[in-house]
Amino acid sequence: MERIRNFCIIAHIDHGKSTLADRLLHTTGTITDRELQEQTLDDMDLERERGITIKSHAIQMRHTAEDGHEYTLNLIDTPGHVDFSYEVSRSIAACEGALLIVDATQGIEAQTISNLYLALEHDLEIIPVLNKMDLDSADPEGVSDQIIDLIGCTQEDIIPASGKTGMGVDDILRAIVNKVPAPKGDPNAPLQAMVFDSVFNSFRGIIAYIRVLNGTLKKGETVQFMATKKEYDADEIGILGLDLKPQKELKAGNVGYVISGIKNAREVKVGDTLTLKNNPCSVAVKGFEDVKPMVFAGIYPVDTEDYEELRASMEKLQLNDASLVFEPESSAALGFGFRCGFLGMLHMEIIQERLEREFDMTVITTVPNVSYHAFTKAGDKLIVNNPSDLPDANKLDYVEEPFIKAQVITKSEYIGAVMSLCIEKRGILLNQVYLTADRVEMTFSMPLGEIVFDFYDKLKSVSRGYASFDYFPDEYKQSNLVKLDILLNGDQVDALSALIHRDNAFELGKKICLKLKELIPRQQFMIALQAAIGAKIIARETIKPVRKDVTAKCYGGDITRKRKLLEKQKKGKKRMRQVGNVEVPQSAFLAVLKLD
Amino acid sequence: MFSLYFHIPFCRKACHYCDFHFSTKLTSVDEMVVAMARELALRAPEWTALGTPSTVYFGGGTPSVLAPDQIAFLLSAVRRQFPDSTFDEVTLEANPDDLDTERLEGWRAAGVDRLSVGVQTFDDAALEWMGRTHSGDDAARALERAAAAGFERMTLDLMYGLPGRSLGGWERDLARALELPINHLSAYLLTVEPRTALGVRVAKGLEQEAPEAAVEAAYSALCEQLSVKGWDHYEVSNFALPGGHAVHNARYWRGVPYLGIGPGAHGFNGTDRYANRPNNPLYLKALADARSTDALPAEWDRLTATDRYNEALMTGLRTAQGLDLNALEVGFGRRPDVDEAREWGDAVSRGRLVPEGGRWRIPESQWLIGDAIASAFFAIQD
Repeated sequence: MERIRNFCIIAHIDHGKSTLADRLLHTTGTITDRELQEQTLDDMDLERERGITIKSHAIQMRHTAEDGHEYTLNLIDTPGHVDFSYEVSRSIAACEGALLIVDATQGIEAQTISNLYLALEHDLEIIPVLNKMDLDSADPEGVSDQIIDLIGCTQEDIIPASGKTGMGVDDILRAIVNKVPAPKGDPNAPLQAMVFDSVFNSFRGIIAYIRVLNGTLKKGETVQFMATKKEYDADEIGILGLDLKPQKELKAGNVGYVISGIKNAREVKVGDTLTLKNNPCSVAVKGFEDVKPMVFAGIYPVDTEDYEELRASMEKLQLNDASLVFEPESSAALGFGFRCGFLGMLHMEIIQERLEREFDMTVITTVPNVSYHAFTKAGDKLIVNNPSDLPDANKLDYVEEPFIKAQVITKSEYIGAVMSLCIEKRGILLNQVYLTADRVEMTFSMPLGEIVFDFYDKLKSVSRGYASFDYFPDEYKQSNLVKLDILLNGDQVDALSALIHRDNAFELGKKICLKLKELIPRQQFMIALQAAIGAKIIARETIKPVRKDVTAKCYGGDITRKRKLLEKQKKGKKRMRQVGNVEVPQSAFLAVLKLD
Repeated sequence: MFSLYFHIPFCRKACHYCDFHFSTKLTSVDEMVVAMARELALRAPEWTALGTPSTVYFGGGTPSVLAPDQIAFLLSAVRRQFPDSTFDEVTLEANPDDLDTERLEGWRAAGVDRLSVGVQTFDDAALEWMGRTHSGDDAARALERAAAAGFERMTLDLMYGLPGRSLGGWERDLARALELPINHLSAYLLTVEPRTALGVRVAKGLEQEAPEAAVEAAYSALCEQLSVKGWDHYEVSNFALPGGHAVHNARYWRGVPYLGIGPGAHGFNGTDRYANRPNNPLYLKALADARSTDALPAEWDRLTATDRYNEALMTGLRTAQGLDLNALEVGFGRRPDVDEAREWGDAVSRGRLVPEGGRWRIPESQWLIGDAIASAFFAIQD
């Protein structure tokens, strides 16, 4: 156990994590020259898609150090998006050390900082690495200062490196062996292992990735998950090389996998503790949480007849994505569908795309919202995951909405723009720190509901891409929210309703109507678009009818061409949803996310 | 019975709005006529089962670039391949520039009995804008000459919805056309096609399409003026006096097979459709040593029953006769009023479809959105 080192990498999205990780794998002989070449020959995008982050959630390397001993180095990957911060925390909890990789040309980003704090909370040994030192635009002094300020290390602790040239790789390996503490734990104690990730394999079922903290797991033993209380046989256990490498046992301190014929991802929860049925440990690993969805939206089939098929598809999706939750709901406008909970906006997009790509479903996703607490005059508290479920105004006392702490790191020249954006999104500045002369970290208290709208895109555009963003949930607070309804030809479309702050209602109502006017194609009749709060119409637009749509000449050579064109248009219409008489395209249901 | 179409792929000059296939290089006209006769000879054996051609149509391009002996040569080639043919109609499309008395008499002697003259407008400024080479008066005089030469069946093409054209100007065009010795009129709404000079100008913002209100007004004036004078609006863009209805063109809308000859020509054998590649040199080269139809530069489009059903809907609803739902059911085993019952009911209640004599038709007042109405009933294959 004294020759095991468990570490993760903390890095911003394109700060070179994959390339540097590949260097480590190559130097330790974990992958061959040819395998490395196959990867490094790919262009940037592909590399990002295919790099170690995607291929493997954890990988074990063997490395002979200067002391002549062979060490086992377990590199555990961390997901790179704020939607998955709980998973990041579990990966970090499985390690004793972390490589903090910072792009020497760009400096520290918000995502890096929040993950770094997580690592520090877990007492991880931080090894700072300054990557991309081969580039002319590298600013080692400035970026080193940021790192020193953040973690209180010395200049000498920071390893200059380049994933591209291989510079610094030996120093990194030396630091991992010498600085990262060996895991502690008792191989003879009852088994106590933490699940830090799981993947679905269509042939083998769920593969759980575990870090053994205490005890020893042997192949074939009956194991139990402490949170779910479910029992399974450990059919196969092993360590993670480039492929799965079966072993007879996994001892305290090590990282590996368990396959036990589990078919449903919900049965394996990240953060859960694995122990032996016959000799269980007394306490579970700290920090387990049932992941709670943060963002909710309705998902409906475009064709109402596909409801059952959609249900089957969602159930299959849930088999390998336990964080997706859904329950049936019905909408006056859209018929039967599901109210789904997601970890965040990216997660929502992933689910929609997987439904379309993997299951060939054409779906409508409604305006996303957060989970509100509605308090009635009778004193009841209701959890509202769908704006349409808000109690009537005469029964409603007040509404609370979730707030977050949002961290934005940007260049000082964009402070003004970022500040205006966050204030427009009802943010309150809590703190502002200059990381260097021209990089500033701002912390805001903001309603999560505002992030759900179009915050990311706007932040990117006001900062020209020079802002990074991270958040963590804070508390629920009372807000002056109203339900904004949209009417098409006088009929309210419940799927387009949203809860918004009263102060923004007029402007937002107007913008939504304008956007819908752009997104809904003209039809053979006039369409009135209205935004309303209760019975009060606050905005109105009109979509004029089509008055000219005919082929002038339709003779021998024109017939097929014209038919094909009209068939294509009709197919496009089939992807639209009929609301009353109006054909509404999928994109219109998310109009509120695309306001200018 | 089938129809025969010759595509004459030459024009003296390109019109700014046209995306039909043509070449302005006229040096190979003689060679082309010989090649077309050869294509006819190659294709004929596959068509004898369908009977004989009952109409002939010379379209283009500009078929009036052909001299009378070239027309005679092609018609005699038709009679050679289909010895028992009798023609209900032999139409030649012509540009006013080409209508001198000698040619007119020559074409008539060769067997042409109907002329379709591309007038477009009588307004000289608008003609210049289109890239046409004749004046309004030239066109009027040409038609008078054709009548004097003995042509009793004549049609002319007019175009409305031109950018910047006033309603008054359009009404003058109509009045002038109706003074001429014609018994048929085609009035086409200008369509801005992307791959034309006009399409490029519109895309660049140098020119704007006519506002829809102006198009509607022009269309109303058209319907009204012709109806007052007793013309039959028998298809979206076509009007006829009694006895003047186009025979050849009307058969396209009834699904009658047609044999198409020439580069860019399309043919339909009742089930499948082919399109000759629109490339004159390629066509001439292929025909120089083609021994069978396999060697022809053509692409076949195999039509499914659904394709043909949609075409029947699309073309049927373009005509005043409209659609016979029972006939559709017999032919295809499906009916739009059943398969697309909601759309059908909606269209009927909005007056987009009316029943008449056991058939359903789009009323004249709704034809400007006819494509939207008809395509709503299309059957879509997954």
